[in-house]
Order: sequence, then C-alpha cells, then structure tokens
Amino acid sequence: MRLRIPDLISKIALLLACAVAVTGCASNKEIEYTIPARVAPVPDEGWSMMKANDPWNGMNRSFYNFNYRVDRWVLLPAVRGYRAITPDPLERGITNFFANIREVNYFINSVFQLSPRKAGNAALRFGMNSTIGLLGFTDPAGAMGFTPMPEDLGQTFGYWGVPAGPYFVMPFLGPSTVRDAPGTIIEFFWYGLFAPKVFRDFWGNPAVTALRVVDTRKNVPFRYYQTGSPFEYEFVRFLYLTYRELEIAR
Amino acid sequence: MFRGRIDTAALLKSVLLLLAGLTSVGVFAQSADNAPKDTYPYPIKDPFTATVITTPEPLRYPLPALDDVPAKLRVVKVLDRKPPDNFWHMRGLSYTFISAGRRAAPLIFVIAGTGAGHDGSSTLTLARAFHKAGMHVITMSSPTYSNFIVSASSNGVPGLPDDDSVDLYRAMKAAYEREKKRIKVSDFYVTGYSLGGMHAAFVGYQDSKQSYFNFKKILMINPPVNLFNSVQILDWLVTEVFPTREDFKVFYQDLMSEITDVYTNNPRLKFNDEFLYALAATYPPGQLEMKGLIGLAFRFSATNMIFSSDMVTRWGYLVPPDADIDRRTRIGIFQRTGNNKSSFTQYFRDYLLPYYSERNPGVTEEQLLFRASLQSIQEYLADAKHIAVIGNLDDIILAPGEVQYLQGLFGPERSTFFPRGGHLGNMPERIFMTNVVEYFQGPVR
Repeated sequence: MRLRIPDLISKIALLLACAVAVTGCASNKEIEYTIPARVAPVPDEGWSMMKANDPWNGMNRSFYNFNYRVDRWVLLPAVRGYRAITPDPLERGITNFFANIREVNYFINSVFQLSPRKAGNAALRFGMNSTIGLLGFTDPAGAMGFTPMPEDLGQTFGYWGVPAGPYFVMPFLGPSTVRDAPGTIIEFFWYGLFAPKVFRDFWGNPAVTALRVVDTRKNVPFRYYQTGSPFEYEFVRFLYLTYRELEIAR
Repeated sequence: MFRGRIDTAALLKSVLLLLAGLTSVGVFAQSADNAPKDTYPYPIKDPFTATVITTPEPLRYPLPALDDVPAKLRVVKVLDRKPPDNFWHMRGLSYTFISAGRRAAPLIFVIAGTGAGHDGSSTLTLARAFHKAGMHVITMSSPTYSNFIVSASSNGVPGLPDDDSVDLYRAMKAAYEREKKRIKVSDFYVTGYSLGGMHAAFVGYQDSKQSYFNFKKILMINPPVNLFNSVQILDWLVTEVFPTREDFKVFYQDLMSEITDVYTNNPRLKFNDEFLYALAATYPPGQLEMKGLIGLAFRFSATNMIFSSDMVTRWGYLVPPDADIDRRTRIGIFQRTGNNKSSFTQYFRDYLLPYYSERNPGVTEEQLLFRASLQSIQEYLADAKHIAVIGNLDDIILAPGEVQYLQGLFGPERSTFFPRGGHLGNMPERIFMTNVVEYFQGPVR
C-alpha cells in the first residue's frame, strides 16, 4: 500500500480551481430586508421548516449555477449519448458493477458504525455478486432480498455525533455539508490509495472514471431548474438536509 | 429526456406525502366498510383525501410510459423583455411538444393548473392520453407559473383570466408558429384542468374575437367558477388546520419523528411507495392532515407566483422595490415570509387589485373580482356549443351552488359530473379519462 496524498490533493485543487475560475470569486450577497413601501407583509423570522445553516450562501449559489452549466453542457449530453449507444441490459450491468464496488465502502463504514448487520449485508452482497454475480454485473444478492444498505463516511461521522455544519454545494459533486463533503471527496478517490495495484490502475483509468460519472448521473433523475420554483435552491437544500438527517438516524 | 422530471407541485406533493405518510392503504382501510352505493368505481369517498392521493394504479386509464412518448422540451421567445437576473437561466417560454407524426391530425393545447408547469405530472398525464389518441399535443404552463410570468405575461401580474388568456393566446400562437412547419393540423382543440380549465374557456372567448385558431372543441376539466371563491376556500384550509405557526410546527415535527421512526426501523426501505405504505400502516393519516397538505401546497405555489410577479413588476409587494437581487442573492427570506404571511386571498386583495386600479383609475374591486369569474363571459359560454365541462360533484374548490351553476349553464349535453373525486383526484381514472378523450374524438355536441 502506498499513499499518494499529493496526487489526491492536486486533483482536488484542480477541480476547485476550475470551479472558482468559472464562477468568479464568490462572496455572499445579502440584502437588508426593510419593510417594502407598499403593503408587503412584515418580515418574519420565527421557526420555518425551510431554514438552514447556510452561511456560505453566495458561494453555494454560484456553485449551484456552475453545476447547472456543467450538467447542461457536459453531463446530460454525455448521458444521452451513452444511453443511445449502449444496450439497456449492458447499462444495467454497468450500474450493478459500480454499485457492487460501492459495497466495499458500505462495509468499511458499517464496521466503523459498529453495525454487524449492515457490515454483514455488505460483505454478503460483495462476495456473492462478485462471484456468481459475474464481477458484479448482475445482482443475485438483491434478487434474494439482500438489497443495499448504503453507509458513507458522512453517515459514519454523523453516527459518532459530528454535527452537519454549514450547507456546502460542492462544485461538480453537488449538495453537501461540511461533515459530508470530505467523505464524498475521499470516497471518490480512495480506491486509488488503498486498493491493490491492478485495481488501482483499472480505477485510475480516465475512461473508467468517465464511465462511472456518466453512470452515476444517469441514475439521478434530478434536472436543474425543472422544479419551476424561484426557490429551487432552497427546496434542494431542504430536501438534502432532511434526507441526510434520516439517513444518519438509521 | 423527460425521465423523472418534476414540477413544484409534484415535488411538493412528494415531500408532503412523505411528511404526512399518506397512502391508499391507510385510506382504504378506513373507508372499506362504508363503500359508496353508486356504480362509479372510484373508491375514495373523502374529497380531500381523493385530491391528495389521486387514483390507485389499478384503476388508472392505461397510458404510454413517459420514456416512450416523443415529448420535446421547447423554448420560444414571446416577449421582448429581459428576465430579472435571478431568473437568468430562462431563455424564453418553455412548453412541451409531442408530434403525432407526418399525417394530418388534430392539435390540442393543454393548459396547466394553478402554479403548475407545462411538464407537470397532471399536464403530462393528459398529454399522454391525447398522444395515445393520435393527436399532436402542446402543453402550456399556467400563467401563474414562474416561467410564464417572467417570459410571457405582458404585465407580470397574473390572476385575471381575461387578461391572462390574452397572454396565453399570444403564447399559443408563438408555440404553434414554431412547430407548424413540421406538422399537418386538421383541427385545433384546447383543454385545461383546474385554473387551466377556466383559462381554456377564456381562450375560447379570445378565439371568438381573434379567430386565429378557430378552436373546434374546448373542454374545461374541474374548473373554478369564481376564482376568488376558490382561492378563499384553499386559504381557509391552512388557517383551519394550522391556526398559528406553532400548530404547523407541531404537525411538522410529529411527522418528522414518525418518518424517522419508520425509516430507522426498516433498514431496507427506500423513499418510495413502499415506504409510504409502511408509514401509513404505522401512523394512519386523517382528513385534517389532508386539508392541511392541500392548503400548504397551494400556499407554496402562491409564494412562487407572488415572488416571481413582484420581481417582474418591482411593485414592492413582497420584495423591497429597490432591493438589488441577482442570481447569488439570498432570497429564502421571501419564501419564508410569503409562506407565513401571504395567501392567494391576500395576493388578490393587497397586490392584484391595487395594482390594477392604479393603472385603471375608476375601476372598482367588485368589477375586478367579477372579471375573475365565468359569470363574466356566461353569455358567450351559453351559446358556445363547442365548449363543455367535466368535473366532480364534490370538487373542493367549488363554493355551494357552483356545480349547479355549471350544470345550468352548459346543460346536460355539455356537462359531465362524477359523484366523487374531489379536485382532480379521479382525473387519471379510467372512466373519467375515457370521457375526456372521447369528447375530442366524437362529433361536436
């Protein structure tokens, strides 16, 4: 095992630099809410289900808009092309293949969360699907009722009581929090750090990474600005934070 | 490309459904012993429950899957007006176009209901049914939908159906002009549900003056009769169920703990129907929750509409008129303020009416409220044999006497009312939808 931290850091720095360059140096933009001249309702800052810990609002909105552009001009066209040229059974096989590799993540995090049931589920799924499931291209474990029980690093932190911290929209990767973001980034790259060399070479291959990204996007139905609401950013934030709370409670 | 697209109403509905844990299981369990006596197979007796959970899968009109429909998302420039910066991503008015192919076929316009977009779930349900019946389809967003307000509303203040139908008619022409090279159109039809149904009638009235499309048939689906009556009913739902914000907070927090309970105790469940079944089995919901949810969904879309309108006019109803707002501005406070304080009723009273009377001195509140009703065009409607109405006797947005008004105005030939279904709850149902499709396939009544 050989740690290649500088490699990892330089990749992350490059991603961030790209995003910042595109969005401009983002600062918070706030307005003073004075009571409007007309008959507007008095601003009211009591409890609201939509409220969130979001101090980096301006930067987050810039990244949200940046992600929309990446999505519209790069990811969605790639997904459309991929779907057009790939037979559906193969698409499903590829989705299963990447899902199977994620079981290693689930296993490690379940162990860290002291949950033998979830760890056992992940181990069983990985073992079964990697062998009789033809390297994970099919999902016989799921067919037998052993469906995935996803656990990621953010959930592990949450399990040990780390608070979510501020909401953070990651460039390219989307909604997150200070607690969840490191996990997402580490898990995006970690196979390159710990896995056997033969797998590392396969995983580090740009074509495989591209396929992984396209496959991930393909399986997320969300489309930017299709809610039609001027408050889509707030809705997405609300849904993400609520969903993560539930995932961690589980 | 339409896989999994969502509109605000659908998004909200799924959130609120999750929050409330509503499912057919719980509801049927409650109503199994007092089943309705007529022959209409739609099973949900309570109109509020029907409105929220709509039609159970086995009773639905069979429709092609969205992925199998050649639906195209289109954008057309209708007005020569730059959108405010927080709407920077809008390049014009969006609509959905579904071609029936090269042969000549009728083109039907579908107008969405309050706060809903051209690609909302109800709109696309109708669109798929018409596509299946061999028509070209263009779906239009409601004039109360953010994208329409910003891109196609001439004054930016939606709410009076006569003015809104002028905007709609212009937008429909623009959309048709963009598609007409590709298709052969035999006849033009228009329909709409809820507020869109009312708009369809007013679009017909516009058509009688402008004669561009010369619509052969028009169908109103669950329309309001008097807009102000209907918005008041919807606003009362919120104030009845949640008299204070504290009441809503308690409701919300109870739901969250119920959801957390069920979610943590069933580690293989995902957020889908299966989860809702488990939730409703553990915590059966009641009518009060349904009322609250309907009211809340409308309040969220009222806030979307009011904010969008205020950003176009900069009149200063919700947003300070001199506030510098761009795509990075923290605008959540307007949503929270709007949700807490502002309803459709207040929008009418405190924004739309003053806005109109400022520009038209001498216009009274009564005159404007009258314009927002079918009564204002009833002479036209009584004689317009190509217009019909379909709805439910227990529609929750109609005030007492309004069903009878519609039945009297259109007569038995042109009106169809089902005994149950609430507001649009049975629209996807087999018999209801068959009536809708056959109205356009049959001869003019």
